[in-house]
Amino acid sequence: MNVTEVLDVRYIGRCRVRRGTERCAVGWLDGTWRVIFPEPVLKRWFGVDPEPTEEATLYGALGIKQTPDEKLLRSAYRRMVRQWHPDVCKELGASEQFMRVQQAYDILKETNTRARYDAGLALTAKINLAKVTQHTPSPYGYRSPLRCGMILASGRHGGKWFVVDEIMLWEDISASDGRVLVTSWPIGADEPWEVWR
Amino acid sequence: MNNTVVVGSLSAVAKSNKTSIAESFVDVDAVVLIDVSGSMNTNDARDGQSRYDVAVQELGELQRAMPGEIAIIGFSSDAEFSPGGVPSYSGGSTDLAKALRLAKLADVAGVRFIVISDGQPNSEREALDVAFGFTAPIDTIFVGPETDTQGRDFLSRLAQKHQGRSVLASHAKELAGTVKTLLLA
Repeated sequence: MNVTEVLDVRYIGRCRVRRGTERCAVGWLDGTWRVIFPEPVLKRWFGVDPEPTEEATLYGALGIKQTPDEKLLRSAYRRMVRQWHPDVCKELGASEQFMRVQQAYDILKETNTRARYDAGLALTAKINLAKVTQHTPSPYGYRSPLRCGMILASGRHGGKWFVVDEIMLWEDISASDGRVLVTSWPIGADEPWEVWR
Repeated sequence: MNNTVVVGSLSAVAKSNKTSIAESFVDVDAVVLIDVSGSMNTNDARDGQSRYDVAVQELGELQRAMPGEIAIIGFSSDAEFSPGGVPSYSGGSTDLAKALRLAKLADVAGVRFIVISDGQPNSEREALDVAFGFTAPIDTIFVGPETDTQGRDFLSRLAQKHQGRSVLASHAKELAGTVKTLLLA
């Protein structure tokens, strides 16, 4: 039976083949792995390009869907900078992801460059990239650009797991003093590393 | 879809910069709509080559000279964005209206349009109607024989209607130079 729950997810890993042939990520909740996010659910929420490229758009790098709302773009940028700043994020590749966030915002914050980028997205959506690039699907699964959050989701319980069918809202985890939780998983650690910023 | 990627094309720039084609589109100054209909296969261009072959060579030269600044849309019965810089020859009719509808997606500030054709479209009225919705000027280059006044006149009318310029590059020769002249003028 489907239910809607608010999940205080403290860390989300990379999508891998975990349940037969379906790729999904698992989420850390209440001190253990407890939530399953199927890859299509995460991609749908973060507005990732559909097959075959599997590449995140610049909007996807900021963790949002395509929008002309500059206020939303700015707040998404700030959130991603907070998440991926190399001083805070201890994960491999954090610096590259941080630079990617900067590059994305540099293009999207200006009306003219954003319009051209949107035009490029619209035109590339009209072609079959599989024929152009002879794309081979990546062996690595999708990675959520946000590692934690207070997530309103519908799904179903199965054993110790909650399997998410749809994400309805994704808020930062905030303290009463306004600071926001940023988590990462350093190599060799047993649990996520939490920083309030 | 032609899989060839020429130097300076959007695909080549995207690959070199390790970005997406959409990101490389940020630096585009002009969208070139090139006719690849049946008549472009006429072998009356340089050294007995077809107008299509010469047009492809000239567009290649143009993209090499202006890397990442030119986007290509080929059109005949259908219209196709060609980020690799080489429009496929497909023969068929000349559905300019369909090509303009596709190009309209890129009608944003700072991007201009150049239509290159050697003849009349399937429907002049439809093409003019679609072009009417553009905010950017549309320049035209006629690459058919100088004696074909009907095709040349249509392209001239299309350009005039949208504050564009209309020029002649007979049989697709000197096409790259003509496009550069239009862009730099």
